[in-house]
Amino acid sequence: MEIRRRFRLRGTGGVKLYTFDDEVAAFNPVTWDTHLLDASAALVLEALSRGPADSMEIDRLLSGRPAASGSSAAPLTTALIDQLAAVGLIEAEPVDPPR
Amino acid sequence: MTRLADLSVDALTALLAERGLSLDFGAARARIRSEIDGLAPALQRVYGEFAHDADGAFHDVTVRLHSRRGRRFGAPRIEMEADADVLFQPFPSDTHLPLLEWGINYLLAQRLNHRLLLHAGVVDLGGRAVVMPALPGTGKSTLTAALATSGARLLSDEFGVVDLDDAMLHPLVRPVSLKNASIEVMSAFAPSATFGPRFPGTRKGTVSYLAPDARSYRERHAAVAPGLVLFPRYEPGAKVLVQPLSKARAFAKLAVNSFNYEMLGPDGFDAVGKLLQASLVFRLTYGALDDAIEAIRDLMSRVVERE
Repeated sequence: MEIRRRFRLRGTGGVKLYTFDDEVAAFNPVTWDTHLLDASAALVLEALSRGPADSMEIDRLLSGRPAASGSSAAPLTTALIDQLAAVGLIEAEPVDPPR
Repeated sequence: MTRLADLSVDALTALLAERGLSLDFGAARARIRSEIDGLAPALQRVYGEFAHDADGAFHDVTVRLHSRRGRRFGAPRIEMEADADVLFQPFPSDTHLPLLEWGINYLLAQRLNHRLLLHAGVVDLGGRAVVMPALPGTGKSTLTAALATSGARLLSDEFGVVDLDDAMLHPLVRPVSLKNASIEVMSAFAPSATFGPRFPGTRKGTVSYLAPDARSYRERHAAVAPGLVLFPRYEPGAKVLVQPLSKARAFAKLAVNSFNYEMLGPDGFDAVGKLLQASLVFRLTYGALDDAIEAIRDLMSRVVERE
């Protein structure tokens, strides 16, 4: 069975955001780096600030429509998650080992 | 209090040699000691509206200019000392004021870390700040000087001092540094303004300074709310061109143009964010000061209309 990994913001202080039109400046509280992001990325960060989510939930958030059961996230969503993880703004939650 | 311009050269020379001249720039204070001939009249010229701050107990910067010791041959040289460290390589003895000004800039950029320091010219135009961040050579100081001699209040030609809580701009009033061609440009633009002596042959070419006016000095503790963030660029012969710039792009440019953004971490991030939220942001390309000032006044009227 496929295990959907859930993603969360890195750091306990939360990512700081300033939104300007369709772009966002984001401050990483762990690395103290500043990133310029588009609106989609900001949407993901704001959603994760309310709690962890998996890629399908993020996909649903970005597309604005319910995802088909069992389908995988759109490639663009996966790429966005990968990019946000690569710059250290989000991370995958640890997966519990099978019992 | 007595203006430096009204002191005798002998009195100022004695003050520099003994107790030290205490100057209040607004956002910072400096104590200056010197035994260098010629510095007192140069200071009187460019800090003429300032008074010796005899009650100033704390100084962000304390410096001393003196002749380089132990040198027997070659042209006389001077050094600047701060906290027992000698800053920079020795300068020719006739470039005392540039050494002093650059040394104070260097020290302030390191020490004023309770506020965000942008590398920017800043003026108060009708009660709102025009912040002009720019790299050296883009005409930032010349445009700042032109605005300051056209009715705007000078805050600084070098430091945008941004409050971390509310992004208000604090004055750091000092003479405006002019280099090479901009000296002639400003002399023609504002013939009645007070300029200091010219210092040819420095590492930046010929340098001179525009003295802050009385109002800028008098209101050195009056912070001003942000209004415009402009990224100026001088191009000879260019018609004035105003282009909107996205605030996210401006965010990156401000961070790069700051002396201490990275050091301040989340506080610096918030200060830039608040500054941009409260400002309109543009690129300004200009070839003539009059046109640039007219364009800036027009942009500032948009700021006022927005409120």
